[in-house]
Amino acid sequence: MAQAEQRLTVAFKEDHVEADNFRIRYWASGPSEPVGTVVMLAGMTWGLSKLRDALGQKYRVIALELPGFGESPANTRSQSVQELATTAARAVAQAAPENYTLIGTSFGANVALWQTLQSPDKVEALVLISPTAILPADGPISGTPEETAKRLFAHPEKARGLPSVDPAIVAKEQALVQRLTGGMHDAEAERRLGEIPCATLVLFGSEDQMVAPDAAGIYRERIPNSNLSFVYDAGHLIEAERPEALVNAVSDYVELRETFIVGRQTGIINP
Amino acid sequence: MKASYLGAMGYSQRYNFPTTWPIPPIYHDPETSVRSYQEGMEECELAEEMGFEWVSFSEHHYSGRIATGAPAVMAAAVAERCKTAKIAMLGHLLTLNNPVRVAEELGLLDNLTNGRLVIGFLRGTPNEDQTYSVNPAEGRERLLEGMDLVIKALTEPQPFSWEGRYYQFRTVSVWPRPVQQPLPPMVVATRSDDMLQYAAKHKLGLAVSFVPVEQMAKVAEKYYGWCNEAGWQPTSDQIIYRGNIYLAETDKQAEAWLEGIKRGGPVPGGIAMRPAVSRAIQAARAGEEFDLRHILAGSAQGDVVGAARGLNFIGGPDTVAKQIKGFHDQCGVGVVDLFFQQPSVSHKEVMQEIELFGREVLPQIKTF
Repeated sequence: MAQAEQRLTVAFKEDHVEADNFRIRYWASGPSEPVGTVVMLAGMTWGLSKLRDALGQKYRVIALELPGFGESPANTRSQSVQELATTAARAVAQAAPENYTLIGTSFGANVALWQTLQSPDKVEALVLISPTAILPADGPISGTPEETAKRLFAHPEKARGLPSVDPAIVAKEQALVQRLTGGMHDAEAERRLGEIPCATLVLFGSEDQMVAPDAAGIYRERIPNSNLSFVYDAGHLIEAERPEALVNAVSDYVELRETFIVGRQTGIINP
Repeated sequence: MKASYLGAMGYSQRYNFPTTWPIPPIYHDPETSVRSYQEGMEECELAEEMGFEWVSFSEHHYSGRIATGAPAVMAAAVAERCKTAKIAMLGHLLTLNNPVRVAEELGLLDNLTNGRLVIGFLRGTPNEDQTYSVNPAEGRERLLEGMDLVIKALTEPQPFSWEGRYYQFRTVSVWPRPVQQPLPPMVVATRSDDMLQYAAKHKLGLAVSFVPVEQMAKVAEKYYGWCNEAGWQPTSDQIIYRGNIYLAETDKQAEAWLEGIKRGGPVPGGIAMRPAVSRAIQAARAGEEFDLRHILAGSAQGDVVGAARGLNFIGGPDTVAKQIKGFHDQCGVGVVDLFFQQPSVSHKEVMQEIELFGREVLPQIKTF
């Protein structure tokens, strides 16, 4: 199923909204009769294009470019992750007034977490992919491209096969993330995990080196209706290393939420 | 250095078996089988009494030579008789099994033994690939993923789902957790570079079976190098060698026994398969494309799968102690896991060997 989905190309239409004096771009797509709405907040660099395309087959998908990320101007005004989440929520309210499933990856997941805490009535389900709010590993990503790849990938050699990213964009995003988080554990986010009311899936690569090994369990323990998932043989950038597994798990969860644990594959070989 | 007794639980009439694998169930006589397991457990008890510090179990299928297709069941039974020895699962054939089930069995065993479990992971001999119809070409990858999943299942404090290449489980929450925290001692039974690297990276021990000392030394050298790169060095308990043994009162008696065996023709190893099947498995394991005509004609690799394995330790007590010392000195082996149940050796003879080993050999190797 995942391979077939990859061959499909989904036309995303670019648009923008104004929120908190930011001009925020987003890309929207979806079938004529979507079964729901999914909002995606990509973190740094490579984003979630394969997942976005897969979900776009059934859902109205809004992929938001957070202020200061991608090709947007440097964001020097947001003072905290919470503030950025408020801005994101205001932007989403214009692009998708209906309720939605919210997906964030890496730093985008930290923003999604706060957006859910701030707008619990709007978020029907939450998917946090490689969030770094809880127990981030020591030190920001820095150094040579090889050292960066070693931190982000289970198999750093795979980084070479990815589309190149403008180093200026990477530097701009890193500076913003560092300014807003300081690479520190978000104690308030941890304290408030229990307030997340919606079904929540938290995914980590089994080789993620951007958070401490104990981080994953904290989300599962504190968020009342949550599932924790490990994607085998993937580092922090799951989509880059195990895209089919990520698409499969998240698609199932978006469709089925906490019932995604119920087996649905037939065991019949020959009827 | 420590000694481990391999609880093979061989069927006592195994010398009647054909050399081929699998052994047809028609050879099974319930009365003989029940007696064989009782005798096997008596051997384990005596081994512990004589100073063996470990008793080990190994998963093998469809054969009465090592008749422990469900090794955790056997280990649980022996653990009730052997109250102090480490119970070493050396081990589960992870490529054939549901890793979550394996984790559950290991967690349970560590609880039943109050923290005496040693865990070993291995892929198994090529004939085992036919058990449960696992594709031999995928064995290595399944083993690597399976090891990761077992470790995660035994250590993760919260329920989780697993999105693997070969395994997908949406709810994993193993109970009971091991008594030994964070994990019981673990070793990887292998000679392959990728597995050695895995063991070194994860600070797991090494187990090698049946190869000559020079060959193990080469394997151990690579393993130590990778451990060094990973910033640690294994303890002697983390280097295990499993070998076939025949111990007699004197070298001369052992030689006479061996001559008798040779006169009797090939020793039934019990893992030989039809040549074409052997070659097909070898080809699949090597990643070669399947070509039936080539397979039927006989590949260049030949039928090495069913080759009988020689005795690694044979002689009187001093000779055997010296042979074992070679593995200690050249490979750093700290635990020697011994397979006493040779095809033509009776239960009574095995018991005599265990006693002799405990009396004459163990005091020597404990000083190594």
